Amino acid sequence: MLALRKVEKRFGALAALDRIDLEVAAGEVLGLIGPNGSGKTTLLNTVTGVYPPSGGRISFQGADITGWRGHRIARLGIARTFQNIRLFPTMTVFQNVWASQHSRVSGGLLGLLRSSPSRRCGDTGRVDEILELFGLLKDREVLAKNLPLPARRRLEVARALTTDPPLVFLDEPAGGMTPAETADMARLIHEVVAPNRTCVVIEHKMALITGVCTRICVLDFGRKIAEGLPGDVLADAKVREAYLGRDDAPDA
Amino acid sequence: MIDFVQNTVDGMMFGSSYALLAIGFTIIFGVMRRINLSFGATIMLGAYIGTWLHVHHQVSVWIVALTTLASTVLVGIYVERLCFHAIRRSAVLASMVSSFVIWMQLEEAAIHLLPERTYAFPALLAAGSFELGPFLFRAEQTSMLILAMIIVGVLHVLLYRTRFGLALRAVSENSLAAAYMGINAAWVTLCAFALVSLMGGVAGYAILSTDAQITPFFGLWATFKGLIAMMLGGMGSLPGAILGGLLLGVVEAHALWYLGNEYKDLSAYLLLFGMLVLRPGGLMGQRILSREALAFRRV
Amino acid sequence: MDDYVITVLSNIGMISFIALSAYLLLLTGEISFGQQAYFGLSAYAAGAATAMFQLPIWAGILVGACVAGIIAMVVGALTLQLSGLYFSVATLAFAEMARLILLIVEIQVEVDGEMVGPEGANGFHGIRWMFERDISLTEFMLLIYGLLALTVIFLLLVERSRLGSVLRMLGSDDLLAEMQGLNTVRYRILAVGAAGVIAGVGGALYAHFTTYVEPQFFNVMLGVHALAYGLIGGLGTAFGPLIGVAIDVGFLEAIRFIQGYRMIVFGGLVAILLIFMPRGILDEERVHRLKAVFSRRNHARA
Ligand SMILES: Nc1ncnc2c1ncn2[C@@H]1O[C@H](COP(=O)(O)OP(=O)(O)OP(=O)(O)O)[C@@H](O)[C@H]1O
Ligand SMILES: [Mg+2]
Repeated sequence: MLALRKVEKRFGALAALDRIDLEVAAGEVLGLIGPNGSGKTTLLNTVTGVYPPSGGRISFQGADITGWRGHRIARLGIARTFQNIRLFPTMTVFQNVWASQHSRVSGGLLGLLRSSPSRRCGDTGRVDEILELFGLLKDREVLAKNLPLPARRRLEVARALTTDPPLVFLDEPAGGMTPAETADMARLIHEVVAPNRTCVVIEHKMALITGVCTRICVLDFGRKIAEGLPGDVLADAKVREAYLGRDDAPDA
Repeated sequence: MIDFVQNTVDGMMFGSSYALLAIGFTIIFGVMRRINLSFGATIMLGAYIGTWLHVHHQVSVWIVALTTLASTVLVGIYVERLCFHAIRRSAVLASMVSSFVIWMQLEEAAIHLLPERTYAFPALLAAGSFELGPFLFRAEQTSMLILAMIIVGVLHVLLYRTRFGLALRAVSENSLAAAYMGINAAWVTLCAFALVSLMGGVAGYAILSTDAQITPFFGLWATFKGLIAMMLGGMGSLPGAILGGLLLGVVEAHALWYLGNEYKDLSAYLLLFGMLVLRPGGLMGQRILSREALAFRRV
Repeated sequence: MDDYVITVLSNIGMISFIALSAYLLLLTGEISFGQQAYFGLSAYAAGAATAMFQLPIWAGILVGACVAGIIAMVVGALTLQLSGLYFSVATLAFAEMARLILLIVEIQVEVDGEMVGPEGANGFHGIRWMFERDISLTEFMLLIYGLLALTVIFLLLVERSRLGSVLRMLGSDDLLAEMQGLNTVRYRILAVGAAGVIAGVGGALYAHFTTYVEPQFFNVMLGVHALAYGLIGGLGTAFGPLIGVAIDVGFLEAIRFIQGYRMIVFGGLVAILLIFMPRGILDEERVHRLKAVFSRRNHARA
């Protein structure tokens, strides 16, 4: 479904991604792990068109999307969340999700001037459905900036799903959460995000990774050092060294 | 050829006053990540208070100079408290607009102080000129260049050789981290403001005594020349401010000579616009604007 | 009403166009110091259309608005890379460039035995459409307020529409907006162009109201005032800038005893206001709360 061929990203002298080859198959839940600064977020940013790769090619569902601008990639069906939660703070919970939906409608100039939550520019029923699934319906009219952290993370995931994208990237969906909240997020990913969809999860919390992922890929210093089934990969000597060697063990 | 060199030299002399103004902007921007639009008006009001003493009480030139400096610092502190300290850090736009309305306020205060449009400004040095080979140097402009070099030297020592300088640089690198290190960022900011106002006062005094007159428009002039020179050099960069000031002076001098008076300011804005479109970071700034850096900061 | 009142009211109306134009850009997160340039360029273009080419006034306004809009879009395209202070200073530089160029331009044509047209630093005199048609000040004021009402209605519609939501997304976080599938470049140019058109309508009216225009009028002060109006009134609704204009031009003009101290009072008031309301009187949060109150009341009634 998504294929990276020798993808490179350099920031000055630093190779944040070093000739990464990666294949994401339709329907799987891929865990992307690695120590801090190993290039996970950079990989996500190059795939979603935040910035173009310095080299290599990226293709999605057979189309070469290398160097495309972000909005085209998003419209093609790759949605994402952000490690440092990005929401529209002065919009309500509902508006945040709905905005993501209507952004993709192209109705010409007249369509733009249609009054907002109307049928023509997005399905408001669908928005409420999604909010319900993520337990946000009671906060529908709350401004996003007034939500507590776990709810903001859930809102980000909800927003990513509203257009039913075939591929979703989650960047540390349980970052900063307590174990109970993490378990809840794992359940949501398992029950709501993963079915009928391909999903890539970036996470440091191994409980979540081992709970939801069907396959794992490990990055270290911008290189892919291991890939395979969760049990095999986490037992791998190189992976242990990448984490333990820098005193940065995954909290299993 | 001689004309060209003479113009360049004149431009650099004039540019050194732009550089001094730009340094003020750049330090404030570095420490606060905000722009103080009332910087020029602060200097103008300070100088007006000095002139007022001179006009109404015939005090000596030295007292005018000292009053100018002291009142510039006081006005600067007033601006800092009202427009920057009191407004939370993230409200960049509010601070900018606030400093703008305070500029209007200061300008009106100056007009009430001395209601007529133009006043003679007392100079410390007598005007004069000397020749070096085929080139003509004006004494007051030459002393401006020397003054600029002295100020930059003192500033360099202050920023890189003292504890205060260290604290100031720490705050401008990362104010949050500096706060964790036990630096009182609010205090450092206030001191930086006072320092910059003092420097602005010196620069203002020097510029005004070169012009030998003062009008309320000086505030606008100083703010925009300083802002342009800073942007040309690169925001937040000290060497950039100096280079930007000199570049602005030289370009204006050539435009004035070859094209005429009405092209002088036009050339300055054209230079600025071109620089922003082609090289937004300015002469010395990194390309801070790139998409990658933006994403890194926020993703 | 005496002529003085009509003139003040007309000025409020015409300045409101620049305030609304700066406000539209504030919605997209950009601070422009240069909307007065479009006001000025349009004043010249519209004046030229009616005084030099004898076109009717509606054509003059149209020409002015189009010229302003097209130039704004070009500037918008050139400054796409810039944001924050860089964008503000670039718009300032452009506006001053435009003003200084108008100070130089001299194109005159002979109309009815007289020379009319821009005359460099002397400005552009003889835009006498109002006199030729015997239009009274009051009638012209109605024209100004009619067009202003149309503009405000348009902006209120925009706010309720998808476009409004799109612009606020751009303003709040353009990277996030792009990741939601928005073509940020296209919308930004659209917004800059529309802001140019709005300022342009004001400029075209101004040229015909005063019968002459001078480049000096379109200096930075005008632009920064326009910006301040939007911020004082609040960034939550298109009424915000109008409140700002009304407070400055209307309210303070009315209080005679502070004449001469007006900027001291106004400056102090605004500075204090901004400490407590950094996004203006009617900011997004207050507008949100007001809307909630109103919708609850409507529900209760139904
Ligand atoms: N815009 C940028 N400019 C310079 N360096 C960058 C930029 N973005 C990322 N880097 C560097 O690239 C490396 C990879 O960063 P990245 O954010 O991808 O790591 P990560 O794996 O997501 O780490 P974490 O687990 O902490 O989120 C880091 O060393 C980082 O400092
Ligand atoms: Mg990361």
